[in-house]
Amino acid sequence: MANKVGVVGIGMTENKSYWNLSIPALYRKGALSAYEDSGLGPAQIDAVVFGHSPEYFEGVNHPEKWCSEAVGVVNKPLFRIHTGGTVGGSAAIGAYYLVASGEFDVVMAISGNKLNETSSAQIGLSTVYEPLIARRMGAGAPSAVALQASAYYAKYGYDGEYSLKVAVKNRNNAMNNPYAQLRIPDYTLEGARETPVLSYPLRMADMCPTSDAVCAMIFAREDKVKEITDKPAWVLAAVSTNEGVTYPDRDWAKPIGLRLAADIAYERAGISNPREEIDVAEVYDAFSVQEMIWYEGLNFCEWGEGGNLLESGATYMDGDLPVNPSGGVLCANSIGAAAMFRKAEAALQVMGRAGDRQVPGAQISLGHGWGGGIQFHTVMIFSSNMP
Amino acid sequence: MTKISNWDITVPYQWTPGPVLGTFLGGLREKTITGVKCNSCGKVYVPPQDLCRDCLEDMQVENFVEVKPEGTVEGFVKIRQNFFGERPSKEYLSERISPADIDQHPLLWFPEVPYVVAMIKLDEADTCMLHLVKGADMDNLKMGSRVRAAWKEETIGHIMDIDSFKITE
Repeated sequence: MANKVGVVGIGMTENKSYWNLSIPALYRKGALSAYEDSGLGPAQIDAVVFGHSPEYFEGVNHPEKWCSEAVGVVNKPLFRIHTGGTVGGSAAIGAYYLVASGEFDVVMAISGNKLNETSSAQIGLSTVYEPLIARRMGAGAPSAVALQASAYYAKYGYDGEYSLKVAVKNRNNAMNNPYAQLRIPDYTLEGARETPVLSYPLRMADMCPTSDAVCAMIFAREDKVKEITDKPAWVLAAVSTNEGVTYPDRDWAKPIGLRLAADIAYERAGISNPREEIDVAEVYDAFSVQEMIWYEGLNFCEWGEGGNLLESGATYMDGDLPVNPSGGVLCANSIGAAAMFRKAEAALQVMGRAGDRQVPGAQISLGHGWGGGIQFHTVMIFSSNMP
Repeated sequence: MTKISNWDITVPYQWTPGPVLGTFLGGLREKTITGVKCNSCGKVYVPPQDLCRDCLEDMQVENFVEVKPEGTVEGFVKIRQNFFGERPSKEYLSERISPADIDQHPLLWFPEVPYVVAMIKLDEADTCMLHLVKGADMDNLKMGSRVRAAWKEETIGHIMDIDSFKITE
């Protein structure tokens, strides 16, 4: 039986371009934020799980070599995890496992990237494509998701207007999040419609920005949690899955890997009706259309009902299941930290410490991550009450 | 003060296709498209894979099948924007990377914008392949459009031996 684990500290840097901080200095900023938040210091951290997405974003291999010093944890175990855009979620889940197993008492997960160190993150992302048969056609992440969007629209009869509504919802939410990069006053549907088409059917409004950021989470075992804080976020479930990339009849509009992860997570958390029981969710909306696809994968609605769930208003801040009160990845995407921000934001909600983006009375929250070849998913569920 | 230094990294790589993908590439040189059929479940992979992703069976060399170069568009994207905005000239790149590498530079791989990349399911395949779709009738491109491979005159055993797929209906 796994130990009960709580989140006892969260560190965040603002998402923006940091021209005055080196890569390790940005990691240090994220770690110091987590120490300040938890009241802990490096001496109390037993191990570190380090995430960081592909090195080509910064052109520096093995960034974890700096990490132990940057976070102040030296001569202790450090593990690197790498799962593309999911990495922040995978690092959080890895840290959770280390504590739940009983091997360590207090573990920090920390993940980030400085995307502005490269002249084109999309050139780097094109090297994700298989080199001999796919890379000539590969054109970064937007074009892969444009293929996903065209499949989704055709399958269920939605169009780009639905996606733009997601963008407007989340951009308006981001006005309440001091860590978001895109905080654009009076962001309207009319304005979003006028943005240029970059990869048809996706417009610029449908896409995330390029950010530098680090996020950190400190996980502790039950007995330690009580020494550190009286308002932790208890982890009810931490699940990751991976779909294949080239399997037959693969349907990019139907993320079966996410549905599997969600179903396992709900079972572990004792949730039978996620739409009713989850109070707030943070999902990995790197592109607006994906938020609707993830609603379906997360079983907030049936397959094909994502656009209708959006239209119902349920996922707006005043709905019964607000999604991405932070503004989501659409308003801040460092890739390395983005999936951990989803978990950290979800944890803050059940701690009651989400500031202006707080969903009143949130008790159960969900944080999601997505990455790889549209294949990796992470799902964590948090509660304000000890399981 | 902030000091920012630039360093363009150019590292040559060569990738091993192995016998399965190698057979596919060799077939392209002969202007044929080769798939591989799983011994266990019968699914046909185009391009061929080393193992069946459904049953995890190793693919057998004797199970290569030639498939017709005709299929259906299952998803598409019209790319309107290059990564750096303007496509750089060879002269621009020649100041930055060795002349021998220029033709392999990703900035020159991609066609002039706008261009179309599609997921194409060939009629006799169970998987999709990525390729370009070109033609004067692009405005008619939609999900389910029928397409057919158009070959380059000179073929070298490369994915771009297929110049593109053309819309047939």
